[in-house]
Amino acid sequence: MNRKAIFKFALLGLMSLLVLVAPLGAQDDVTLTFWFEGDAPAAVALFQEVADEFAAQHPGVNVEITSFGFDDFLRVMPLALDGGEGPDVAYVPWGLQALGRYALAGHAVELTDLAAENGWLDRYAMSDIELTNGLTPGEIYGIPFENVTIGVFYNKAIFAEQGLELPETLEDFEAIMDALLEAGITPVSVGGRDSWPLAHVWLQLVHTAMPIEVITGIENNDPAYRLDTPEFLAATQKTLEWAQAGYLDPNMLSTGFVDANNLFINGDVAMNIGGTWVMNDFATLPEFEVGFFPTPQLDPELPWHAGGKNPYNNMMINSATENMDLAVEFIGYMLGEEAQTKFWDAGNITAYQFDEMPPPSTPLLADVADANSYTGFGYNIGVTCSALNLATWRTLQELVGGDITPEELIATNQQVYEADCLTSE
Amino acid sequence: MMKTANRSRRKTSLVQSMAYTAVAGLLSLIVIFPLFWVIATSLKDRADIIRNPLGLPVVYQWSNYVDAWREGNFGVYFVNSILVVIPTAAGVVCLSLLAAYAFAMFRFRGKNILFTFFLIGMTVPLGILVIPIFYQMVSLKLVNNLWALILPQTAVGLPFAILLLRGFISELPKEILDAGRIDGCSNWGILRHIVMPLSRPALLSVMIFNIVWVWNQFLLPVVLIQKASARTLPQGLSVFMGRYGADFGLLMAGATISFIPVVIVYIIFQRQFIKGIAAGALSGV
Amino acid sequence: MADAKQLAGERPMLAFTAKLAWQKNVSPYFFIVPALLVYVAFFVFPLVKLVELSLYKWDGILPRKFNGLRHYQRLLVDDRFWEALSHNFSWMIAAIIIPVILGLMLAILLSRSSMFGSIFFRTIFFMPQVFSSVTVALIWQWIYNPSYGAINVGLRAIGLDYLAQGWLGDSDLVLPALFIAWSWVHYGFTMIIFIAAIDAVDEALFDAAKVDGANLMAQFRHILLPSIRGALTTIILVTAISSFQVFDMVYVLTRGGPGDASMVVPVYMLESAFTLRKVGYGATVAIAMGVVIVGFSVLFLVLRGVYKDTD
Repeated sequence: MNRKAIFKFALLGLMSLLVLVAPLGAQDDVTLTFWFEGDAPAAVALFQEVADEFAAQHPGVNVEITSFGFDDFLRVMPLALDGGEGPDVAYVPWGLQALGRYALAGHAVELTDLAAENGWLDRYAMSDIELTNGLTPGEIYGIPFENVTIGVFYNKAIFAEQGLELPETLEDFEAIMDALLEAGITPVSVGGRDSWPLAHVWLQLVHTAMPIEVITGIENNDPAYRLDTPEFLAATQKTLEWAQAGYLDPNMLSTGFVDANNLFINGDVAMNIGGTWVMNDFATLPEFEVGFFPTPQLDPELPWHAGGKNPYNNMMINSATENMDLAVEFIGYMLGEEAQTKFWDAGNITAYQFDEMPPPSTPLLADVADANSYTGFGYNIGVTCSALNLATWRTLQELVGGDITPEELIATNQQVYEADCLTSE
Repeated sequence: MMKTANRSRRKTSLVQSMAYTAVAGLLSLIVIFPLFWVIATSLKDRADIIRNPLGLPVVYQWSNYVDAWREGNFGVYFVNSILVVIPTAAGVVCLSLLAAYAFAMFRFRGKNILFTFFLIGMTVPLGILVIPIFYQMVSLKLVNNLWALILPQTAVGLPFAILLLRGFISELPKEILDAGRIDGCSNWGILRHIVMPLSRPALLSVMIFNIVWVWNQFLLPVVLIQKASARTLPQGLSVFMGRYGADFGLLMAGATISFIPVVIVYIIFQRQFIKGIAAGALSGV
Repeated sequence: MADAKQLAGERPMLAFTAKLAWQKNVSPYFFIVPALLVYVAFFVFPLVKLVELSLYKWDGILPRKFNGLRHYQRLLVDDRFWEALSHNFSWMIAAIIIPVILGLMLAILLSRSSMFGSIFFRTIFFMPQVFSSVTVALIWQWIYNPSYGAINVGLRAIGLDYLAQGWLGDSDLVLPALFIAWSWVHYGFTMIIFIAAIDAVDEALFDAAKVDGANLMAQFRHILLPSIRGALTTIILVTAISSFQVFDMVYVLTRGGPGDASMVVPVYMLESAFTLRKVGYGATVAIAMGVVIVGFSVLFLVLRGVYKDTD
């Protein structure tokens, strides 16, 4: 390469600068931007389809959708909002970690009147909305339109081969796992390297060990509730017991979320404890049929409130939007029957109250819908306080890694709860 | 380099040479095998990956590349990466050449202070500056604009480039430079007609070094670019990792698409690249 | 917009003055100013801003509150920070030993032995240097996968099942495992610098030694090693500085887990600033890391004698 070549290169650089400076083509069309949290392929495709459908019904309107993983979303969204940037409409995680915080900072448009005017409240329960907004009762800043549940996905082929019945009680469940171990099959895969899937296992046990008031109290950062009670200790001890018995994949700490799903999809383990947002992969990818049941109760005396069943993200409008009317129309479309039927058919548990429920599209969705029908909301402690969430993930890894005891885990959680959750940051 | 002919004629037997080559060959598998695996996997379908994780594909699944390119928007990411890399590398080369020339050739007040001021840049990792850079770009209205990636990366690229070029220029034979001066060349003339041509290898290595570095930059786009249409390749790949994590063949096709260009650049320019790096690192010794 | 003619009329004049300026010695500052402007605007300014952020309590959204030096006080008693810092130091110590020795051995093999295809092997061995951290993480995530990964599949294939384990999930193994993945990239750098230094050694020295009957070990100790001592110092210091900054590999593969077993300061910084939204505290951690790195860098610059010909 000679000097000329270097000059050419510099020239090329200059030209590309010019290209960058030039406006990216003037457009008469309106572009509505929509961001959402959730990056499973099926979910992205579905949002794209619904957005395209909306654009098709509104000539001159483009909808540009962008998806984010959970961590990326929580990092990027506040930065964008604070800079006066960000999308017109977003589908955001709930509570003070996201929607509540954006609303407090004035970034979310108050939807209370719009919800009444547009009839959204006829189809969506105010209790769900208030729960997920986590703000002054009666004020609406976001509307959740789908529910998620955490429970047990199981390989029907392996269950049939081993002659196993679905469990009624926790003892049944443990007997099933013993039988699988004896047959040389790892019972449950857990993506413990990513830490939050391991927390789901623990949360299952936590949620089935104590009354729902405790869970919601902690959700609301109420100092009257504690995380170092005997119930928390029992759930934690049970988690450790399951790990030591080999019920949970012994390699779980080096197995990522995707790895754990693949182990299940490939038929190498019998069960996977996870959230219904992976349901589409589980319904379509394996060569065997997959079923679902809720985790049995740790305390059988309690009424059913399955772990982690909760309303999912919320539709919100950025108060910096320049396309307010269009944004309202878009939300209305997303919350309407047409879009919600698509969501249901694609295997999501919609919160929309249909006049007549359409039939489930897969046997797995039927199982999940069935499990949902007799379990109450269980919510998800840690959702509203990132510090508690992170501490739980960290200490659970240490617990199953044999570095700390259950007593130390609950003590640390309580300490973090007092230090970082009760006092506003 | 002073590699002399007589070294290659050293009295060693053929057997010995073959043994050394075999050792190197075995060791190189540590690099070659993972690459082979990435590329082989990128051409397999799901069943093939499960049954035959380490071998060649049974049926070549070229559609993985089509899907990665289309569904993963790799065409868009590709153009964005190029639009960031070229101005950044060109900017670093031009600005650092000017500054390095002054640092290498002149005595002036505050020279050491200014030089140290630039060197501080080599010690501070870009990662810790991401938050303040974001707010700066917000006030400049450059969020989601590729300039938000070009400007800070040019600034961060300067210190190493100046150090390397300064070392190179100060070691140019003084006689030639003095001859230029006697011939009546101005400072600018010496730079254009003597220093620049002689520094070609160093300039080229600064350029290649920055191309590779900017091409692979990951953290900055993750924070500064939020629109899918402005993402660069590594960012696109990481989104892909989350989104298509279960589809290994597609994931590996995406990975291959993103590393092939930089490997080609490296193979073509490796002599300059390596010589420049070595010269820069050893210049002060 | 203004008078084009007037501008055009002035052009010869401008050119004339400019020519005069070139003829005289243009001030060296003129050459430095463009680089300085970009550098100050997009590097120094954010750095100053970072210090400012560390003095405030801020979640990134709600209005920030002045916090004085309290974040710095908290850092001093933050056990998690100190544990992460100790991991950085162990990492650095390993980094100045393992990739350096590996690089030296490869350099000797490729440069001093009579082998075939030495240029080809240089190309191959150096190649991981040009991969992005995302690609490298992807590769090593597979190598370490407990069920399908190369290491465990290989161990089982040769009957060493008992050695197969979850490499990234064991709190004792995770740091070494991540370190090996990091070294897979970085030995290439040390190797290339060593090759350049070895190639620059005068061949006559070796010939003289051979005449004196010195064996390979003696040649290494008495000729090679003294000749490349300068390069060795450079490599050790550059490696120390870059290894201390490592976070891509840890961030992508384990995020510091299991527990805090692989937590390093940069990951802790991101966790504080972004996940926990304690922007000010994250900035404080960033500054603490910066102080350590700047300390090493100054040591490096002094030892390398960067200033020796600038006075």
